[in-house]
Amino acid sequence: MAIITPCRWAGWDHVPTTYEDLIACCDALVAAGITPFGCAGSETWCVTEYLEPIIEKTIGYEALNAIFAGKATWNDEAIAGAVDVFQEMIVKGYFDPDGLTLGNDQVKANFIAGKYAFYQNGSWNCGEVNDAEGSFQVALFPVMNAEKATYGQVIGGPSDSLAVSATSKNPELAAQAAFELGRAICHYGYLAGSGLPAWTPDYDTSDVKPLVAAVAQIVAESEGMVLFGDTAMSADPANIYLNYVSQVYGCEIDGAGFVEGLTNTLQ
Amino acid sequence: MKRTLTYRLSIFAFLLPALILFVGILIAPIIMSVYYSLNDFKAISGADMTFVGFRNYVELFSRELINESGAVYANVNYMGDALINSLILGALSVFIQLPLALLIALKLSKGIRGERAYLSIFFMPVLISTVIIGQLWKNIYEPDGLLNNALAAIGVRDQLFGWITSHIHSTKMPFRGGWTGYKETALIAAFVPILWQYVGYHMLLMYAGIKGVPTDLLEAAQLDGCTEGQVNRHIIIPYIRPILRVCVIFAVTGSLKSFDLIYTLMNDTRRAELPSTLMYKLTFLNNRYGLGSTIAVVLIVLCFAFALLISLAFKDRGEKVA
Amino acid sequence: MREFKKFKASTVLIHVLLLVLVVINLFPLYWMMTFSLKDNDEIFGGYLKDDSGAIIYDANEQKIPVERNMIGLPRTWRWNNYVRALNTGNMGRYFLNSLVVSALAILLTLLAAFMATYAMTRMVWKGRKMMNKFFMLGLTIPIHAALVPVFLILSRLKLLDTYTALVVPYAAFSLSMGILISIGFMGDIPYDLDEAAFLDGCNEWGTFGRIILPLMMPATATVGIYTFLQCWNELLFATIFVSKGQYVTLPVGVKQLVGQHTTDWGPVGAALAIATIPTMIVYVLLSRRIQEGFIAGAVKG
Repeated sequence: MAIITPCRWAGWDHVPTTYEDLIACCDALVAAGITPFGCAGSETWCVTEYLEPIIEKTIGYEALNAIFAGKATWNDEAIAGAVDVFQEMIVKGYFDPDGLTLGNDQVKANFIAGKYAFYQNGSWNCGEVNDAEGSFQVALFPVMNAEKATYGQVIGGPSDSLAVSATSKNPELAAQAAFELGRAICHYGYLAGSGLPAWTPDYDTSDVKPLVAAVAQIVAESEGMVLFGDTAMSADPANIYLNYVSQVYGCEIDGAGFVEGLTNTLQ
Repeated sequence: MKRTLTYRLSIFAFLLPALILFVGILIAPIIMSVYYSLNDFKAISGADMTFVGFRNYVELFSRELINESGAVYANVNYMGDALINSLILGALSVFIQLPLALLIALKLSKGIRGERAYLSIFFMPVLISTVIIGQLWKNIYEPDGLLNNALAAIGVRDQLFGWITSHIHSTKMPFRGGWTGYKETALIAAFVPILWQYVGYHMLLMYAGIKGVPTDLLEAAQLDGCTEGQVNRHIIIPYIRPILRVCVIFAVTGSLKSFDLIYTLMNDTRRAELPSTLMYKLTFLNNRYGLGSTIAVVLIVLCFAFALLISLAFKDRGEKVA
Repeated sequence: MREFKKFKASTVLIHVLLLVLVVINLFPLYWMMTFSLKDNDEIFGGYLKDDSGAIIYDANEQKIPVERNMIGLPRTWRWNNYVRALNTGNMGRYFLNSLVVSALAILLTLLAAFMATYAMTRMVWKGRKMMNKFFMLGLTIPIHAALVPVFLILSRLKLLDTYTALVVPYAAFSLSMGILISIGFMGDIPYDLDEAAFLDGCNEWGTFGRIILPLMMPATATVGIYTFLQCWNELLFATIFVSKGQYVTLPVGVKQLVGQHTTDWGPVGAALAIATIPTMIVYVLLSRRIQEGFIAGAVKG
């Protein structure tokens, strides 16, 4: 949901906040021989970490939420356009060509070792980036269509949940326990840097890593959220969606093919 | 005594545990699978089971489908490619793996120093967990892995990559050493460890068979002045026909069932699909239990058909098909 | 006439080729052992860290880069990986589970196979040949066939994530081969013994228990080993039927160590080593029996 980056390369000392700046920055990085984006192509969810923000920043978070919820259709030229932009980035070399076979651990290790400029992935990674020198930053993906989307729209949200069965003996009590459990997980997860607080922290958070705190700030100020596609949709459509995303990353179909395929298969 | 009721009951009692296991886990599930394959349901409880007849079979074997509004679209669950892949694996097993096994078995059975040791070592890969082998080969096939580094050391790496890139049609990305990421290379890449692992198994079977050839036959041939090659061809190989038949059946049915290695080797088996990985995906990721059962039924039928065909092919001169 | 050993070029060549094959075959084991003693930084390239994962700084407060070392011997032998695999990785638990499942499956297979074989070979009734053929069908049935139905049954019976979920299917799938092997061994026991026992007043159960079973010891070993090998490394059913909780078996446990989002590869290697060592020990000690088992099955089929 956010870009973490060791910057100060190729003349850039901050993460680009506009789309034009991002392209310019990436071009400069490619020219300097540095791969801009680290993405594990063999794990399709990592690809969605890039594709979904691009789509979201093109059509806006409400539209994307509606699509994932099955209430709107995929058949949108804007989406096809966004996918094409994504593919263009791949072809221009913004992504590691080895990405098709890399696993996420490797990509992360590469990123921490300084091989990639940006790594867009789950916010829990902030807990692993050992940023003693303060050379990493957190940022959001820039807006691509200012008419539909704003900068503060993010992808993410709760993807694991505790549920209480309606047939349990003491559902009220169980629900309470689940709630407290969730709160505790958020509490300790936040302090450890592997998650974000789902409530306003009313405890001492001075130990929290700056990167994690920055992400929490972003989330607190966010202007809209979209749950990850493969979490929002149910099993069958989710996996069909992932199948198409994988095809897009492998440059096997283009934006129009993506949109058409998903429309016809899912709707 | 033999006809008394208690005797009959005893027979039944002796057979009972085996029958319960066998019918319960093997026979009944087959019947159930056939039933499920004619339905579609996504909930484990079967609450939403709807009878669809042969639609699942049609869906699996159609490259393209038509949805309700009449639009034609590519079928992501198409099984044809997966089946062809497993048949290719089967063919490679029979024509590469088995001859190799036979060669080694022939050489070892002639009495070489360290025969037992070689035998044990060659059989070892069969016992190693596929998770290990898959992990190892994953590292070998990485862009910066053993294979590519070895190619670079010999100096053929870039030419090979260029040649491969020019032959890749499924994607616009140039080939840079990601062997399991491209449809054209992933299949062969996956097959190498699969074939490698079970050579020892076939070799052992053949070795045992060769050791069983009566020595008087071999001595007579030697007295007649036959060369080693002639002895192999005209005496040993015909004698171990039954074993060869078993090996071929194992090789082909094993290919149809192969799952472990590919599953461990690749996160996303989309580019080198096998029927078993497709079944796993459809059943446990997409939750389409009916469709998964359909694949199971197809596999059963195919295994059975091949076992029969191969037995027939090996039959000659009034030999009974077991 | 004096014999002398000829160093035929072809023999040397054959030995060389065989040795190459030996290296290829043993490489995975070597690789696994070295792998298990490294950490992520040595495997992928990174910075030198100590056992707890904290970066070690040198005299100038600089991080020490560690070069990628895929196949070489480990530079620091991190036995700590084994400790971690056993403790946090729960390898000890998984090892135990695999052991229990295998042992129970072996017992069940032996019981069912011996009893059925006795009925089919030493008791006389019409249709026993047919019954034999029926059981032999099991050799051609692919294990996947049972996957969905058995999963659904276990799920509704709430038997998922238990020992039963694996023991029963494993026994069922080893049954056909078990019967095959047992028929071979039981056929070697002379029928006169049966008659003698009958004359002494034993019924079929007595004959079974007192005469046949003790003489089936060699078969026990062969069937046992065959079933053991089926169970220990089995991945598909184990993944699907027991995926969480305390009953997870070794192959699944190891695969689960490869986390969904992050992985510490050193302990994974250690886990793999822990998983393989028993098989290797059993094999080295009993290789002859194991080989016999496989041969018996296929040859007599």
